[in-house]
Amino acid sequence: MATYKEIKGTTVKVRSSSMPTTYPQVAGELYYNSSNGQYEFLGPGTGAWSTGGSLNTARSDNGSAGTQTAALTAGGDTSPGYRDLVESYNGTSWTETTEINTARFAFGSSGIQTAALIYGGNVPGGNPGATESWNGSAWTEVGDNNTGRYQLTGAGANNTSAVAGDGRTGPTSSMQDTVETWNGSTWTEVAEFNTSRFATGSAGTATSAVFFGGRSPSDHANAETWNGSAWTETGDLNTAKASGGGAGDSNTAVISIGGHDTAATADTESYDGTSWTEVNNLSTARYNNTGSMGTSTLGLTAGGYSGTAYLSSTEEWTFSHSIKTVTTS
Amino acid sequence: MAYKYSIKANWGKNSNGDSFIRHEDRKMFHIEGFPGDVWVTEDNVYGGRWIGRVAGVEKTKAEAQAIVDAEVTAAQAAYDAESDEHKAMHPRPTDITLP
Repeated sequence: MATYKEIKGTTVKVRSSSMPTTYPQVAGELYYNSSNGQYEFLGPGTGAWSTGGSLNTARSDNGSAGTQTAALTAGGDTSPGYRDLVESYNGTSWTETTEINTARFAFGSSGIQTAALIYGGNVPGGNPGATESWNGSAWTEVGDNNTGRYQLTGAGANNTSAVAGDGRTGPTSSMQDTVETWNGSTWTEVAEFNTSRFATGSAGTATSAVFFGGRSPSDHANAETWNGSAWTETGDLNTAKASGGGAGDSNTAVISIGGHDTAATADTESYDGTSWTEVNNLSTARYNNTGSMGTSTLGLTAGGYSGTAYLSSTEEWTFSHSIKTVTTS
Repeated sequence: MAYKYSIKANWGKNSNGDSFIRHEDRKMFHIEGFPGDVWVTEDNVYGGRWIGRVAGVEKTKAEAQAIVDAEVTAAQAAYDAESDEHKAMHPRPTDITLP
């Protein structure tokens, strides 16, 4: 029998077991599995939500930073309380940690579990542009947003870089198209959105992000990508919605999580840099689930509002490939 | 699609890392959560096994709908009593009809 090398003119990698099926693997690799004597390849994948550890305090409109297994959530609304509570996640359970200085909800947030930033928000009687930086053990008040606002959103990889935009300063008519970037000490106004809005979803970094959906005052399907200097209109969401969450680490790999259209939705959509695709829904419909973080392949949403209750439940998004065995028939 | 209806509080993820709803569950059957800890699952062997695994209490569709209705009615009443500021930030809870 001809060998694979004789047929294709190349060899394939020999592995002692099947390939891992989750990120960062890419579909299509063919290999020989010496443990079962089979040629296998990594087939197309699908994503699905499973239940994560429950928050200690149910809340919506909370901030978030980090990954699926090393996350942070801060503040939020448990009506009538505006919370200063912060919890960290290790992939299994949430632990209360140092509180933020100013209780708030509906604010922007970004970063990782040990280097996060929160900015703006609904701060009754307080400074709506207040920004706080987290270094893994303490929150420090730093430079304010130029335009204090709430129901804004943001993206960033740490506490020294972020992009924040949209939101409103009061009634719906005060919605914003202004965008600001953070350099570790000050916010600077940069190129505006193409479309003013608030309650937008977002994911990415300070130089590579996607902002999607939102309200102005009707729900938007519109999405815009950010490359560090300009906003570009890209493919619309399949379903217009606002007040959802997002997860992703660039402007070409993002998921939209939940939100509100005519009611709380469990809808999840995946963005590949060009268009949005409907993927498997959350188990529990939720909106104001701004406590969403992670990547488009390993995401996490924590809390939110179901339409009748503030949620402590969390859900974990995992995208995994299938292993296909090569057969002769 | 036929469904089963059950109630069970979502216990999240336990110390062994086992989830209330596992990743594999979501690939095997439809499951959807509703107010009042109501769960609607596809009426197949996998959905039935999940109800058994989490020790869910099965309900008829009418019983499950009544639980959801009570939750929504209470939430609507609470919303109507909220401040205008709250109402400007949150939409009024809407009625929910179970599939």
